Parts: sequence; structure tokens; C-alpha cells
Amino acid sequence: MILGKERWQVWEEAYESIEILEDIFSVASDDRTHNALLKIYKGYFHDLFTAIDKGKKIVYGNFAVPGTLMRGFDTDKVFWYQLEALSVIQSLVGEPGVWNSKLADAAEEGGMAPEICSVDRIAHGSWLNKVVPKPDACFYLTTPCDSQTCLVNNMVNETGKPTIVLDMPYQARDEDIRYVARQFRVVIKFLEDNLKIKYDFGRLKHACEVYNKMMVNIADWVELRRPRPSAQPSETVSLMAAVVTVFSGHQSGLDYATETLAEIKDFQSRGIKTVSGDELRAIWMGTPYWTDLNFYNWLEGELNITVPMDMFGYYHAGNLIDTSSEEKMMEGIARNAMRNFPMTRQLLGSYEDYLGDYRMLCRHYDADFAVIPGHLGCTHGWGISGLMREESERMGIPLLMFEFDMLDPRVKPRDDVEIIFKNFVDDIVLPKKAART
Amino acid sequence: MEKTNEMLMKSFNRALSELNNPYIKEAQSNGKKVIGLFCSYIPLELIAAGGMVPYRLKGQPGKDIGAGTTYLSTRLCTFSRNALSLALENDYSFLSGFIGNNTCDQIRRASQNWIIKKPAQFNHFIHIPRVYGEENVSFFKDQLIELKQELEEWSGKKISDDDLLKENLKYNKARELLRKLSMLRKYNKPVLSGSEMLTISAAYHQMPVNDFIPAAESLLENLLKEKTSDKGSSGKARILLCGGMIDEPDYIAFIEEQDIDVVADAVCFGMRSYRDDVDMKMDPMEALAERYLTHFPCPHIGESFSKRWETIKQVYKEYNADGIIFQRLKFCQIWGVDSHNMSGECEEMGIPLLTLEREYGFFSTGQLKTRLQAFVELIEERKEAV
Repeated sequence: MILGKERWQVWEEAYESIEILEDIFSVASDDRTHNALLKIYKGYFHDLFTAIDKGKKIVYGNFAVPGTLMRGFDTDKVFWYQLEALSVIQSLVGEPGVWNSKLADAAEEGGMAPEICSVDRIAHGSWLNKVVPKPDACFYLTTPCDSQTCLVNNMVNETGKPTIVLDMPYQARDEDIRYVARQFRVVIKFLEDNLKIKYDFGRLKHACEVYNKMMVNIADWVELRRPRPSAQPSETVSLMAAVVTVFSGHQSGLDYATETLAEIKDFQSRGIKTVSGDELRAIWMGTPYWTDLNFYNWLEGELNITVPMDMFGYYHAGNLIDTSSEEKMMEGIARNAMRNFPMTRQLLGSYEDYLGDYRMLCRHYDADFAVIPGHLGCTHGWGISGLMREESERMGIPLLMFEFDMLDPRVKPRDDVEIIFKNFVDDIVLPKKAART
Repeated sequence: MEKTNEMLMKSFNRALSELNNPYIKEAQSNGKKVIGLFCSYIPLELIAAGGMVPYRLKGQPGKDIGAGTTYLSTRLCTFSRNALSLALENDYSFLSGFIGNNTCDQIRRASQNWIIKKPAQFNHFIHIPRVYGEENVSFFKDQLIELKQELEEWSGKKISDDDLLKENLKYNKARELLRKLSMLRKYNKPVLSGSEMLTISAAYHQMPVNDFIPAAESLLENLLKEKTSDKGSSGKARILLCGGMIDEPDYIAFIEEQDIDVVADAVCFGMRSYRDDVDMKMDPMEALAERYLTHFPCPHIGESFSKRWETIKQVYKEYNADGIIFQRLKFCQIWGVDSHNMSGECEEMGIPLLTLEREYGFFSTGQLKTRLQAFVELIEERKEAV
């Protein structure tokens, strides 16, 4: 294949990892989730390199920018690049301990405070180290957290390219949704003017339809994750957000959702069990353990712990986009961006959605305990930890909180986290479960 | 007997002497309700127009912050934990109302915990947009109208345009006085110290505006007489202080003990709160939305660095500063990212910059002293080189 003209080592290495993993997983043809993930990421790399080679217009966005909205631009002319894409890809298929750490350090050397979320430090480090394509325009959202908003402040100042920022409100009432939809219109006009490329609502309609199909599949999938014993690995849950954020409204997103749904059906029909012993179910209310996905396998293999659902994997398929008019599509995308996007839904606004989702997930997935993975830079997550503890007490669900970093393995070595989990299960979860039975 | 500046400063010191300060007690004894708020983005005028007293929430240096930490964890700034601790332990029970907001995640979470654990009689949460375009100002106005309606319903008092216009005018007057007082720091030998100025501007947030205006007028009058005798230079390094939230004059006093005059600032209890006025020609609610959302910005606004930097540069020049001290509370993310932009710009312009990370209400004097002295030496070297 022909890679991009700008051959950054970090991307080359990630691409090579994908090819190696592809060889490994293609042998296991029933591992449909992994094969689908590798396929869509490979496609993403092709699109990125092609965009650079062909001189397409590149638009920067942060991770909460709704992909579906951007599909209204001709993909042969515009490539939408999420600032966090490299760090996530590195974590999922590359060497997070090498590149992500380096890029985070680069941001700190540039003056960014070390307690800023590593996602944003890595994104900024990627820019400072010139390992990301140069943008023609930028479109950012002020969600889901302070770190993101401030990364935006840095990027606005540094790229020197036409930039528009959209405000995400605290609540998601109808008037708030209309406010966001109105701003989408302003964004479209801004990008049209600066890219000199016309936005096409026909394309948008197609993207919305693809999004809706993806969401229907995901809705079926979240239901099938409920029955005991768990049939599909925990890791799969943590991958969903990485797919939805990058591939909403794109055929790749739909392909992935179709495959992972087919996989769970297949596993259940064959009676496959994720763990061999007495299954302990944990609801994971926060950022995934992306820095080392094998950790989920360790939980299953060593402690019989499964994660049937997490905060990032749960999506409400009730919020499909009405494609009957331009206005309805704008509002539908806005509603999904506010009500149906992880972190924005739970963490941008009031504590009520977060606690409500927590209660619902514990009940719905028959949790034996819950986990709040304390990603170090996640201020708004930490700021609700006291209320979460109280909610757990009310529900009688043991809650484990621990510090780590979702992308930088240096913060808390996996060995330490393993000990924390082992002790928690031995000292709290198992005795509590035994007392109940 | 002619009053001395020290005597006149007492009015402001009284406002900071305790949370439920004598002005607040007096207002309450006159039947006024006091409404606590966290941020410089909430219009004080709107609350005052409803016959209430707006009160900017502060922490209490030295306070045990265990209660707040229980809810917010150790990963949030010590100011948010300090203020929430005060609420949880009933130190803010004198407030009749509380308005939370989301200018930063820490204040948002502190506000939410406050409302759920220690609700006041009146509780409201307001969204402060993180962008200041036309659409956003209009949305902010809607938020303010919603707040106004809830205040009216709760207090039983309608807030008319006339009420608003009167308060807008009054607060403009107070801000004008603050600007005039601040300008006295422009002299080579500043007539007011940085810590005194912060005392005055912090007091502005913690006392009824009707009490603040005469106190500020008297002090200004006295100081203006005094400035005629201002001769020569203090010989100290002239510093602009910027960065995150700071309401502790003691911290600035310590800086000023190290051969430094803090001659200007760009902090939310300071100049950021009084540099801009409300436009009296506009519809009063629209004017409030416009002024409060687009004023000298804090970095919670997602595209605000260039505006902030332009204003800081202007103030730096106006006040003839020799360097900038950028301070922020540990875990303050919004200013933690801004430090990157500041360092780049200062380097490019050859402005000496000292970045200080601190905790609310206390500091390690030894280390701070060393850093400040080294910074002063750097400034002196630069001056000599020029």
C-alpha cells in the first residue's frame, strides 16, 4: 500500500501493529469484533494517508464533535481529524507506553500542567511534535470537560487557522438542543466559507441513516450483554466508544456494530462463557483501561470478573435521528451529542444523569460490584466521587475507586492495579456475596 | 478628625474579617436576603435589583478541608474543597440563596454537592457559555431571564427594568471607583499596594454596593491628596499578577515583601471584575448578558486566549510593569493549560514570567521566597542589560 507522504514514525508503527494483529486475529475467524476493529482502523489509516497525499482539506475537531454532522461534507474533499485519534489508536493497537508517554511529556515541556487529562496532553504533544496533519480549519466543542476546553484554547492560539468553537450547555432540555442545533448551522456556514466547499444535506441524510442503523445494532448489543453468564469478552465494551466517536455516520461504524452484534449472538448460541468460575460482574463507571486492554482479560482469567457494561459502551438507541427535514436532522444530531454521547451525557452537566445511569446499569446488568476508574485528570469525575459512594451504599453495591491513567501506563503500573482488584474482591466482594447467599 | 488611609482601609478589612461580616449582618438585620455565588460571570446587579445582597463565596485560609475533600476527592483544587467544607459545616448557613455555575468543573461539582448536601432556601444553577459569539450572548440572556424569574418567584418581588438600570448604574460607579483606585498603582512609587488593592476589590464582592461606594470614595479622595507628594520610585520590581482565582491579600503581601510591587493584576477578584462596565444604553438584561459574558475573560471560554492576552499586554504597558507572575491553584485545569500559552507569548515578547503553583490559603514561604528573589534578580539583570 502507499502510505502518506508525511511518514511519521508513530503512525507507521501503529499501522504495522494493525497488520501484525490482523495476521493474528484473522486466524480466529469467530473473533469478529477484533477483526472488524482492525479492519475499520486500517481503513481510517488509508483515509488519513490518502487525504494527505491528495491534498484534501483537513478539519480538526475534538473527540465530542459529532462525526455524523461532518459527513455532510464530501469525504473526497474533506477529512475530519479528531485530535485524540492518535492517542486512542496508540493505546488500542500500538505501544502506549512509548508514544503516548512521549507526547504527554512533550506537552508538559511546552508548559502544560501535568494534572491536565493525559488525553489532552497527548493531543497537544502530537501537535507540538508535528506528528499530525496540518489543518485547514478547526471546529471544536466545549465538552466534555475543562481539559478539552482548554486544549481548544491552546489549539486556537497555535494553529493560526480559521477556528470555530461551539458551546455545549449544562442541560439538555429542548431549548438547549435547539441552541446547539442553531450553532451547528453557524458552524456549517463557517466551514463552507473557509473551506470553499459546499455542505450537502443529502449526504447528511445518508449519514444519519447509517448512524441510526448503527444505533439500532448497538441497542440490541447492549441488551444481549445482560444475560449471565457473559458470553462476549469485557474488552469489547471498552472498544465501543472508540468506534462510535470516530465512525458515527460512517459505514465503518455500522460494519463494526453489525459484527460485534453478530459475534455476541454467535457466542451465546454456542454457550461460550467468558469465565470458567463463578462470575463476578462489575459495572465500570468511567474511562476504560485503554492503556492496556489485556487487563480485562486478566480480570476474567484470574478473578472471574466480567464487565458486562461500562459508562462508555452504553448508548440509548431511543435517540434515533429524524431525517424528515434539515432542521430535524440538526436537532437529532444535537440531541445525540448531548444525551447519547459518553462523558457529555454523564459528566458535562448535572450529577443526576451520572447517578441515574449508575443505578440503572447496576440493576440492568446485575452487578456484584462497581468500579470507578479514577483517571487522574478527570476532575469532574473525581468531583462526584462522594455522591457515588453514598449512592453505592444506598444500593448495597461495593464500590472500588482507584487512581490510574487511561492512556499513560506510568502513572499506576498494572501490577499495582491488579493487587488493588485482588484485595478488593477477596476482602469485600466475595464475603459480601457469600453472606447474601 | 481627618481620617487616615489605614482607618479608611478598615471598612474593607471588616468585609473580609469573617464570612458573615458586619455589613452582611447589618443588611440581614434590615431584612435583606443574601445570595452566595461563586463566579465573576454572574451579574451582581441582577441580584441587587431584586433587593438582595450578592455575596461572592470565598474560602477561609486555614480551614480544615476534610469535609469538602470527602465529596470532591483530593484531585480537585483546594479552593473548591475549602468553600464546600465551609458550606457542609454550616459556616455559610447565613446565606438565604445559592447560585451555582459551571465556569469550571471544580466549581460545577462543588456547586452541585452544595445544592444536594446543604441546600439553601433558594437554589439555582446557571450555565455560563464557554463561547462568546452572538448566539451565545443571546442564550446567556435567556439564562439570566430564567434566573430573574426564579428570584422574583422566590422573593415575591418583581424586578423591573428601572430596578435593573439603577443597579447597573450603581455597579458601574463602584467599578469606576475600583479602576481609579487601581490606577494609583501606576505611579513609580505606588500609592496603593497590591495586597491593599486586592483587599478592596475582594471586599467589593462581599459587601452591599451601597456600603462599598462611600467607603471607596472616601479612600480615593484621601489617596488622591496623598499622591501629590509621590516622588521618586520605590525601586522595587513592578509586577502584574495574573492567573487563577485568588482572594487572599496575605499571599500578595508576602510577594510584596520580596522587593516587589504588585502594580496590576488580571485575576477574577481583581481587575477582571471591574475593568468593564455595563452599557447603559442597551436593554438592561441584554446589557448584563453582554457585559458579563464578554468581559475580560477567564480561560473557561474556549477561544479566549488572544483577547485575554491582548488585555494583559495593554494593562502591562499601562502600569509599566517589569514582569508577570502567573499563579494558579494546583489542579486548576483551565489556568493550567493557559500557562502554556502565556509562557510562549512572554518568551516571544521578552517579558519575564514566573509561574507559581499554589494551594488555597497557605503556602510554603521558604520555597516561594527563593523563587521570588530569583525572579527579582532576573528582572534586575534584564533592566541592566537594557
